[in-house]
Amino acid sequence: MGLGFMVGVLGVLFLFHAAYSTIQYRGLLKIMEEEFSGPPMNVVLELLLGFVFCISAALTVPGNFLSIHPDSEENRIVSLSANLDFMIFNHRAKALPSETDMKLKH
Amino acid sequence: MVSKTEETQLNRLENQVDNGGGGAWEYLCLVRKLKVRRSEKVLKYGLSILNDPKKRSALGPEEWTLYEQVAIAAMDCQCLNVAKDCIKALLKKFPESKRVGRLEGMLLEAKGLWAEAEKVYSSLLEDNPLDQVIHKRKVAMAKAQGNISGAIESLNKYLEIFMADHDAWRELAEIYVSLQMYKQATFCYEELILSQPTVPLYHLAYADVLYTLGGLENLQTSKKYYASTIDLTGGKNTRALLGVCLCTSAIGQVSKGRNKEDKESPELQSLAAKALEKEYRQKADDKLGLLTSALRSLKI
Amino acid sequence: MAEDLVLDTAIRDWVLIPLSVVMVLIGVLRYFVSKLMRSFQVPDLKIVKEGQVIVRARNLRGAANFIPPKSFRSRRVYFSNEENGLLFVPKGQAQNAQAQMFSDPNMAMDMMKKNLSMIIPQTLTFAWVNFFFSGFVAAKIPFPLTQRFRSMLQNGIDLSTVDVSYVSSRSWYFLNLFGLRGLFSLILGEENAMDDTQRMMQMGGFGFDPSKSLSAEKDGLDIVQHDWALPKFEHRAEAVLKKLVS
Repeated sequence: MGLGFMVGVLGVLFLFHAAYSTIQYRGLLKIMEEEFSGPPMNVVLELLLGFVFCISAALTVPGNFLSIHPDSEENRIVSLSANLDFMIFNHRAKALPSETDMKLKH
Repeated sequence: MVSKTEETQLNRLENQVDNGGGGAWEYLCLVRKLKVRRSEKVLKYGLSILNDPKKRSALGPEEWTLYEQVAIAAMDCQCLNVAKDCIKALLKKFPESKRVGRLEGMLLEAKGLWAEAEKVYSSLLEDNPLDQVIHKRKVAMAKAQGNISGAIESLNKYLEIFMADHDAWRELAEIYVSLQMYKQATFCYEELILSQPTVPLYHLAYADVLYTLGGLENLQTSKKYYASTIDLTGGKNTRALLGVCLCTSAIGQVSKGRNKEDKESPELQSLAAKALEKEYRQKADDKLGLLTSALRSLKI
Repeated sequence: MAEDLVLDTAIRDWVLIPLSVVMVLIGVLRYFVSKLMRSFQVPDLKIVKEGQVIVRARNLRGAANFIPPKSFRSRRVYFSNEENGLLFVPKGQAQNAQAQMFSDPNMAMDMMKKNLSMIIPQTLTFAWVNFFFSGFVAAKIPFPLTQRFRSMLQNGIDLSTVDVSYVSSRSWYFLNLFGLRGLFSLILGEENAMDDTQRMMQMGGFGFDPSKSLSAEKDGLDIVQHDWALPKFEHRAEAVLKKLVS
């Protein structure tokens, strides 16, 4: 959370500020009766900065990336699950009964 | 499928529970999710949860899943009275359920009352002739009675309908291997590779079977599958490394007269040997001598 | 539109809120009714088998390069030969799904039930809304919209001068009808929520014909070029081991 989240908040604030500046700039242009061709340079810079901040926050805050390599620790399959649908019961437990004091009490 | 992280997590939880550190329910959930067979522990810890009214009621509706899990574990441990009590509790809650009916059949199986179990399953199948689990139970029952050919026959019949069920293909493959019917087993393992091409263990088992079959072509194919296992596991599967060494030396023996060198990957074997040595040095330094002598006997 | 309309608070209390509550309650009721009427039907053996064949053929197509050429060829013949291949549907046997549907009374019955739980309450509520609440301007959405939305939001009032962001009561009914899915998934649990749009889609997809997908799968399988991937794996394994050893 911490730092990444703060960066994200900052990025969103930057975006809002850029939007606000653009609106103000357009208002100014309207007064000066000029055509709007694009936002001023510093607003574009601010916009890019906010964009970068937001992206970095979005990539770091929600969680870590999971590996897609088949040989990574999360994906490397080390054993198959027991085929429980075909489980059979006559094995050595029959000859070696475990603790007999187990009981379901109610 | 149990991945490496899941395995370590399971072992950690098991240790923790064994030493009385709590987390029994998490452990049981993980066992259920990974479908591993830890019946003794499931019975012990599941029962301790079920016998504690406070813990049991905290589970909410999950309680009944736990009853089922414990019942099956109890059958596996031959604690039949526990299984019977669990099934009775479930039956009281779900009087008409097919799933509980299946558990009853399994209890009869565990008792060894094959005819009665058969009757229960048949009546369940009458209601729903396409119940996959019941069909599988019938196969398992034939296997448990030692009627392997019957099990194969009914499994084949089952697979004719449910041919996308890879668990059944796996079971069939394992039965064929146990009967040394390797040709048939290769077919099943091919089917498994088709359905899950990125599971290295199927590649490994397929390579094992091909190596056992022998013959130049099979050995070469087998070596390729050992190689793919190495690639998919990042070289951390010892069996695949050894398999490559064995295959190469066997290919060398078979094709000696014809002097047909394997041009495709001349280095693979020496690399595998090196990787093996490295692994042994890390994990079992005192057995390194055994490995080197074994590799030497393969003329590597 | 310069001046705003002032909506009477009584409209909020007696139209907007009751309408929404009734829509939610009807949705819940319909869920329980359809749950009561749902019959457990045993799936047909042939359909199950065809589904499984398709899954297996798709696996074969997808992972063909992982098995040796010989095995692949034998499997392809097994699936798509013209005599008794699994994917081969003899001409003429591909019966019309529509005809089959009507020949099976169970299926028709099921459809009837689905219709009952869907259409009857819908018509009833629509009639009810029309009778009691027609002609109200019930709400205002807080953002402006273009004229194209007029038919969606102002169904039932024929005024072209009213701002589009005002919602008529009948349109509010439609919005609720189609938009309450999120709420239902909260009330009834994730998988139980099904709104009417989905229901209609289901109805449309009813005449699904399995033999068509079988032959489509067969065509797909016929054009697969088999290129065994395993020889490549030897080189990759070498690279992996080189990295591991060094």
